[in-house]
Amino acid sequence: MNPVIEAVTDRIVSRSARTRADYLARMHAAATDGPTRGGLACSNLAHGFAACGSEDKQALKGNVVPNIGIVSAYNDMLSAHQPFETYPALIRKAAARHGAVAQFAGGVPAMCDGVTQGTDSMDLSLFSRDVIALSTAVSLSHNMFDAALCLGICDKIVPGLLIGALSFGHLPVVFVPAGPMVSGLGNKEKARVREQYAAGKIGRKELLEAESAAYHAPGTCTFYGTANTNQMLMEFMGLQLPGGSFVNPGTELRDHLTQGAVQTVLEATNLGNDYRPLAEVLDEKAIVNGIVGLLATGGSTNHTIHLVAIAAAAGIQIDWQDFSELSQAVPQLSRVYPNGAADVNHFHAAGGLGFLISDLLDNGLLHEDVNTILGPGLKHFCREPKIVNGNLEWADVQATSLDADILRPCANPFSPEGGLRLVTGNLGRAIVKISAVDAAHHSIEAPARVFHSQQAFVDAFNNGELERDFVAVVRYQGPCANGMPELHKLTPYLGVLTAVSRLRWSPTAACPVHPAKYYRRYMSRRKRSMVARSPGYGTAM
Amino acid sequence: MISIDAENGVLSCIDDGDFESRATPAFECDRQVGMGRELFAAFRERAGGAEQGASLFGVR
Repeated sequence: MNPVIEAVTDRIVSRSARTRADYLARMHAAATDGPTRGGLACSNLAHGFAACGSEDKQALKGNVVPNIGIVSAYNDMLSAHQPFETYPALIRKAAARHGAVAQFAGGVPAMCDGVTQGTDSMDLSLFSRDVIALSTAVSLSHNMFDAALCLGICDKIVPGLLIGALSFGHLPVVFVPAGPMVSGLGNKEKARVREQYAAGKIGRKELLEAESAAYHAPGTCTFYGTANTNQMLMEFMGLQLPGGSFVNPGTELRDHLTQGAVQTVLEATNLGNDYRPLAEVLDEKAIVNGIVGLLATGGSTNHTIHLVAIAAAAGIQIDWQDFSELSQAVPQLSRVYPNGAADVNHFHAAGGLGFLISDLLDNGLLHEDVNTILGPGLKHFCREPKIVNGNLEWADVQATSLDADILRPCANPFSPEGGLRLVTGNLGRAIVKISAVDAAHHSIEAPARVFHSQQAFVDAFNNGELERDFVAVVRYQGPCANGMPELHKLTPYLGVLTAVSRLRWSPTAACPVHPAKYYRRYMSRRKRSMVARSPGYGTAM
Repeated sequence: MISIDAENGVLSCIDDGDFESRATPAFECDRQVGMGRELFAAFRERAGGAEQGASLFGVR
């Protein structure tokens, strides 16, 4: 095992000893023998299955048949979640085939940052994660369930579902994705068209045509932003079936995987002899494995926030120092847009998550001794799904990458380290994604230019005031001020600034820098700020 | 003047003597109303910082 990863893991275990023990004690207390609905008064129970068919009612009365609670983030505003419309029926049928029952425990909200980006609605986005966690808890609080399936994919949804489900960590929980849309207009070309629009070189009609060609079908957006980073995390942390994250919607394999998730969660209930509750799957080592995956893939820095909140819900305390130290031990092994030209479909075809997990395990960079939804050992996730004679079967992942421009082994990494750095000083603490910034600009000094809103920045840009070196500070953008929206309204303008300078700026789907107590001593609210320098440098906080 | 040095872990205002002692500027954030934002006042009051997960919940 890599000594840095071992040391950071030990430190997290030690730091979390009291809170983790308290969490596990609560979950142990919640895990009673057999279905907890047996403890419900008859009137409560009758309400609980009033809408079920007569066979399901008989089964639930008997108190020995497992009942799965489905928590879904379905709506058809999110292309990624649109396929979930038909999943509950598929899940109920699959449960019935195993002599079990599934009920739709509850729906949770889901908002698309792609729709709301740059608008007032984005101020709700980060908080929507906690609303989803609360909604998940309300759904599962019916206390009729032996297991839960969480249906969600996008940015705040998976973290919210997981935070909520962790309060029911005595249940086995499996995450069920729906997969990415098939590839459309390439992400690099899309970014180029957006910058042309920002520079006034093309009109809105041309812009909309390009956007529609990029986002064109049911399924998750294909760049490696927060949604697809969520998918990586669910596999690295053992919560989602291996190799299933990037199988496209509407395929035969997709349906088999959903049915496989039903079978997996039923095998893990407290009714059987292979009980695998969520509380025991998501432990300190699983969290570290998640961070290693984040670093190895150059995933969304939004997870420097979400993973902290997820870990906390399991009684585990992590901080940005942990991320920064792990980053120096973990090589970068994939290049997916915005870190490269490929999308997640290409990444999956080149070998995907199974290849990465296998290679990282071989190099002592992941904890193998974790619990997963499939049982002990992360080795379960070195396999990929196949359909053989109409059945879902598992095969070992390929040992080599099929495209070294997208995916590489530890022996030949894109970079020997993970690309996240902690910066501290009299302005507070922040995370910088140096892998998204040209090495020449890892260290900068420039005068501050302070803005009070994204619009003020755009106005200054349009007035030609920004054609110089500066560090932009956008104030009042923290959780307590306005909910900490992403500041993507600025992205195309920053792209143009550096385009003018003929130097590279590397925007990412997520903002590369997240500050902590930024300016806290000096200003009344916590801040989230965006820093940029032109020519040649740009990063966001 | 601001210094960001990712290689050496620095995020600082290069102090010319008055940074620490300067007055706290007035809070000038947009009024959080419209699109349902008024309903989230309690979230804004209770949310932790980014390094604490920007969450209502914290470690329980």
